[in-house]
Amino acid sequence: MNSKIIDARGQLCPKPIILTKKAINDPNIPNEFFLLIDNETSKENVERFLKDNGISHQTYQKENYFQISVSKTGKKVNSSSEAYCSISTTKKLTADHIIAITNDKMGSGSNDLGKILIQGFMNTIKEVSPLPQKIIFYNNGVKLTLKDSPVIDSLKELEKLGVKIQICGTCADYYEVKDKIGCGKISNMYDIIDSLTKATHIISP
Amino acid sequence: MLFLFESTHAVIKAERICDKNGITCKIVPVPRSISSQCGMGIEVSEKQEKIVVNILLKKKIIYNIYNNYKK
Repeated sequence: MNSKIIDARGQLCPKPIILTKKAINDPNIPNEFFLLIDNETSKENVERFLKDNGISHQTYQKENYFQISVSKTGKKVNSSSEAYCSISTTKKLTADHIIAITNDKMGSGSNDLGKILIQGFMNTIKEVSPLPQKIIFYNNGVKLTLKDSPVIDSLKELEKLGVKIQICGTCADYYEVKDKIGCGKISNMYDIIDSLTKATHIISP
Repeated sequence: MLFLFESTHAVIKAERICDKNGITCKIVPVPRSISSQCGMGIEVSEKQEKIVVNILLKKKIIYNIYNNYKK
């Protein structure tokens, strides 16, 4: 195999683009080379950079990184690497979808199973990209936001990552748990309808 | 530390036992790197591993422990 591999894993923008540009302009690098990138933003920026410069490429999703195979045209590339990173700095970590939690169990059937499932669900949200913009809790769902909830640590972590947590005030009042809430913000039906209306899509487990 | 069990019933039992004994545990899905099937496991801190192991042995709940797994 004489195909050269450029490993840009662990590198953030503009480094992967600088490496790509260097490889394209370096006559010692074969015309077909592979680029390894491990974050979505850099991958998108490099793809845009290649496309704008008329360089054909193909991206393969590997287990925990992307492999972009690049075919050089023989022409040198001059566009600025930094210019392709400006978008990434303003890119939001969260998407515009919302998770609506209406119960402290997931699905209907066994209560014991439902409790285990909702914990697994809440503890895994942060592992999946992109994060939701908000998580709304109403009716029995508010119980998951209490200080002694089994998922309180995960919710706090999500809040730190920028996910807003909205809790139905009427519900917290009904279950008499207002003073036990351990995360998020109490909100009312106006806010909840506003959030649900503006969401691109709503996930209700 | 991730504890995996033979069945979902065992997970529920183990979670209850941890809760009763004041052990902070986190219910998490079985990582895709370990199994492609749907399942739940229990994550506990390294410090609490021994305590959990002792309790599970006492209650005769069969488990597997995983460390350094990919999520």
